[in-house]
Amino acid sequence: MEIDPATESPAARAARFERDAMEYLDQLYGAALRMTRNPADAEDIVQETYAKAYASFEQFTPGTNLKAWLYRILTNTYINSYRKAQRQPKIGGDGELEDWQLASAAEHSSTGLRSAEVEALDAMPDQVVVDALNRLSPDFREAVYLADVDGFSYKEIAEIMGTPMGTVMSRINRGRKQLREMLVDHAASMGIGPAAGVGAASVGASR
Amino acid sequence: MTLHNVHSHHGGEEPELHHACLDALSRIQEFLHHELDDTTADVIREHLAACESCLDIFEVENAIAGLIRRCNPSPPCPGDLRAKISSMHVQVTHIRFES
Repeated sequence: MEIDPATESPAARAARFERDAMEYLDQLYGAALRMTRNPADAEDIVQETYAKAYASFEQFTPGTNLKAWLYRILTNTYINSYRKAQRQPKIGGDGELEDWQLASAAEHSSTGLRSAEVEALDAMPDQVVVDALNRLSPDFREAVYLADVDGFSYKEIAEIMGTPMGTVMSRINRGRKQLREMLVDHAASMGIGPAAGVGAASVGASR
Repeated sequence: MTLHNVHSHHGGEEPELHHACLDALSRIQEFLHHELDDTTADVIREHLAACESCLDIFEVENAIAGLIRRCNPSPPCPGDLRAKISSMHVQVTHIRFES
């Protein structure tokens, strides 16, 4: 079915929007929730995203990546909303590791975990993983989520985040590295892995 | 992955293996996310088959990828938000007809 946005009637466009864009509402809401960390703000930016998306739907080329297009609008809406409100820490704290993360990174001479540790990871409680993800800097976390949860390609992530692909790869690598170190630390504090005992003692993990 | 890690990784032996390890590990995320062309991916696959230490690391990264997915199911959009958005573009269309 050939759709020509130029000749399409407003009613047909509204119907097409309803059919195609609404499909992603749950996922966009999920993405908004992880950016804003509270449902009220998430609702606001999702609403604004859909309003903007509908207003510019005529410019969207049918058949191209609608999901990535919507995510891009969502990301921009979120960035602009907290620039106005100045409630959030600045975006782009890419270089800043917290002291405790630097300390634990220094303890790691090897990331060579073995299958017992893979089992420990698989058994890790959801909340531990979610907490670790929430400790990542926002850009790293968002890049990791877009790649691992939403399944976007690096090229799509670059479009959504408005950065070069090299930046996307760097954010994913560094985010995943920080995440790995936090999860290894947690496993160590449970007495599992090569860092167990050694890691816990030097980092002063509470028991 | 620093050079120091790779040396302790293989007990300081076999420099050719270190380069292969560095190559493979530096691209491990791309490999996991299916970003590599078949040829490059095959080189990494071969290395993982030959290098237990790197395979261990791959398994950890793969497990973490699974964890991230497992721990992040998307909550459904609240019903009243969905209703608001559905009716919103109907209203906008209506306004456009009138102007």
